[in-house]
Amino acid sequence: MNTTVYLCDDDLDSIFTAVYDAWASRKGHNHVRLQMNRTATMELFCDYITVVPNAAKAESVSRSIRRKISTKAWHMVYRAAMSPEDSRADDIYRFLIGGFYYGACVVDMLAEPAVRRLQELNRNIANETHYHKEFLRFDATAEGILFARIRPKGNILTMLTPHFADRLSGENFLILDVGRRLAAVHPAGQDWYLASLSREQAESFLSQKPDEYRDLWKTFYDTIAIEERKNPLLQRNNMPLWYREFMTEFL
Amino acid sequence: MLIQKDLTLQQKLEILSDAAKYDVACTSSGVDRGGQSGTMGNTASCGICHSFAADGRCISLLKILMTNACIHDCRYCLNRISNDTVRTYFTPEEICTLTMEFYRRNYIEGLFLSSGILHSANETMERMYQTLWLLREVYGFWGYIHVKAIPGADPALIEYVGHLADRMSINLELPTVDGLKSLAPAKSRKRILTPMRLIQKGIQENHHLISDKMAAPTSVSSGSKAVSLNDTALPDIRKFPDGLPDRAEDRKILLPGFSDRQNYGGSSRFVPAGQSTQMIIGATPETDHQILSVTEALYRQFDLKRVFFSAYTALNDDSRLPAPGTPPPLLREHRLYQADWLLRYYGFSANELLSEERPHFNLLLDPKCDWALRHLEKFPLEVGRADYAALLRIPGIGVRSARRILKARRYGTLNFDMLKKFGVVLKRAGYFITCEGKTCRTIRLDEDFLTGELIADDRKKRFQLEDPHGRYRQLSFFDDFNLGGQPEQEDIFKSFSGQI
Repeated sequence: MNTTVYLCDDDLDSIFTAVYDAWASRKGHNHVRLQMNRTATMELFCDYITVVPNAAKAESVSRSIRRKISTKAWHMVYRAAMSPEDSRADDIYRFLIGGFYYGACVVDMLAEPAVRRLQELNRNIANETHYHKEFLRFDATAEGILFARIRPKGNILTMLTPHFADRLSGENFLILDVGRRLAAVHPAGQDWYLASLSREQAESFLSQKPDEYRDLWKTFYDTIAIEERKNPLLQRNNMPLWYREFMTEFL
Repeated sequence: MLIQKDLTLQQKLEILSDAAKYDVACTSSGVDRGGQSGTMGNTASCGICHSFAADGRCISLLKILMTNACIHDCRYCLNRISNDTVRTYFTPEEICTLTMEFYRRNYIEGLFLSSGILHSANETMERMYQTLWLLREVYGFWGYIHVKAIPGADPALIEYVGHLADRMSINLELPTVDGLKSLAPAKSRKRILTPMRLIQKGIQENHHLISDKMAAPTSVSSGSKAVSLNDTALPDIRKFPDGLPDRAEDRKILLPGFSDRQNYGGSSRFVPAGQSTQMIIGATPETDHQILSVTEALYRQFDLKRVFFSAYTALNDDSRLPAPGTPPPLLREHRLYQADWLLRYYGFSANELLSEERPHFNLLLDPKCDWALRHLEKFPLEVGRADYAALLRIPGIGVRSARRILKARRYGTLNFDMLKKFGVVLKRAGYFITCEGKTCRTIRLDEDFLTGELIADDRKKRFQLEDPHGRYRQLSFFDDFNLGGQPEQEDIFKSFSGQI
């Protein structure tokens, strides 16, 4: 029997709809596979179905995970869906097979390869989020709005922004995911929200003039290092180069 | 001493951060505190590093001196009175502005405030208190503050500062009394340990006080009133003519607002992230054994959160110190930190790791491997049966992997593949364990053989510390080393003198 491949998009709705369709097709778990749309390389002996995102189907999958497995499992699945791995949709599907069978205890069953894989995606995305808590830099505009640019591998904005919303509750700030053109907007004293920006809007933010504290920070950054202990390898281990694109000290 | 006043903020920052950079502790860990409306900041108990300087050390806090003017002449210190350097100071407002603006931009996690001694210990501590009060109460800073307690300052002052800070530290400077006497004549061990004890007691009392109050729900009134940000009047400590008041009764006058805001049953928390200290390594001829014994005593008797080691960077020209240009003993510092971890998390004691007869660490091996090699009678251990304490003592097994082993072996048997997935470093652990009665490779439990194998494993890390500038490296086939170029004048001389 041919394998049926369900092609889905990056967003959560699309992945959950694909899970719904693949499950409901009743072809058997070994005969279906989920794949991200943009990475699909066609294979022989496969039928390809492009998934049409459907909010009702996605909601029903989401609800089943929370009810039949656990909220913790739902959070794990959510974080995995935000990861940059191409295999994430299929990883989630495989995890859910075990999840619906074993129930809430599945999250601790590290001996299962599917569970371990999902934990791995979770750990990676959590690490990336933490790195961005460290290395994200705001620039203050003349109007006092804080503006940060990041280019994360995973879609971490929803996990990153609560940290800053708690910390800078009285500030107007905006974090722009440059690659996805997605922005987290936080008006002072209010709840934050996500906004998708057009190319022109994103570019208008990119052409800000430098902040006056930039030089002060660079001065501090340069003087705080001890010349006799210089160790670029250790520095790169702790702060990989790809995080440095928008960091004030390297601008 | 001439203090420069007409410097720009940038020049001051350069001077005062340069003077503070030899202080080691730059951690922002130990306390979890959520954000609050009307203030800026929160803290995370895991700590957040915000950058890494060119020396690879983390930058978490804005590490500055309040002033680099100092009345002491400690020989190892760059800010000693006999050094001819530019002296300056930050005003409290400048420190507050810098902290707030850096924090907003996510450059830092908080403030690390230290200082040279200006006129007297009390005056310095008083200024630090005013700065912190201004930062917490007027500027509404809610992030992390690490502050140095000045030895010799009034105990009451230290207590007030402790209610504004998250972590306090007092530098032990040198591990032995003799070292301190010869290099820092103005400081004495007693003057350093007294405030350390004071802070320890303060933390303990405060802990009981708060847990008592939290246990009695009726006594807490939830009506916390916010401090008006316009109220910029600093608490004037000098209004008490007979010096500072006894700490219990007048705390409320001196700490306006803070106890209201940190509403732990009406009391503010005292140094919630604990205290730490640091020692200079390599300036005096102490042995590793002495240093580690002192460290252990500090953890056991003073409840310190951390003891930091600072490899001495020889900059002062002084007959009692290593000559300027001596490279800092980085590998020794690394071994001491490894041993420090063994003391804190692995249940080792200083006397197990080192002794009078073996006072120094083996620079070629990490302290745990070194210990294991001297105790081969305890190995190999069966991971399926060994208890937690024994597992922790196996080289290549850490706290996390030991816990995973305990969990996993409840449900089934272990094998080496699983151990690897649990994070056990089989390169080291493989020589010391059996799994289901089998070893993972053919091993001889012989000290010489194992030493050779383990040294080879640690080589890369060691090399990186010994040669951080990358002077020596592997030749590559495709690099152009300009071997075919014309010999220069210098090369001709070298070939004459037999260097090439």
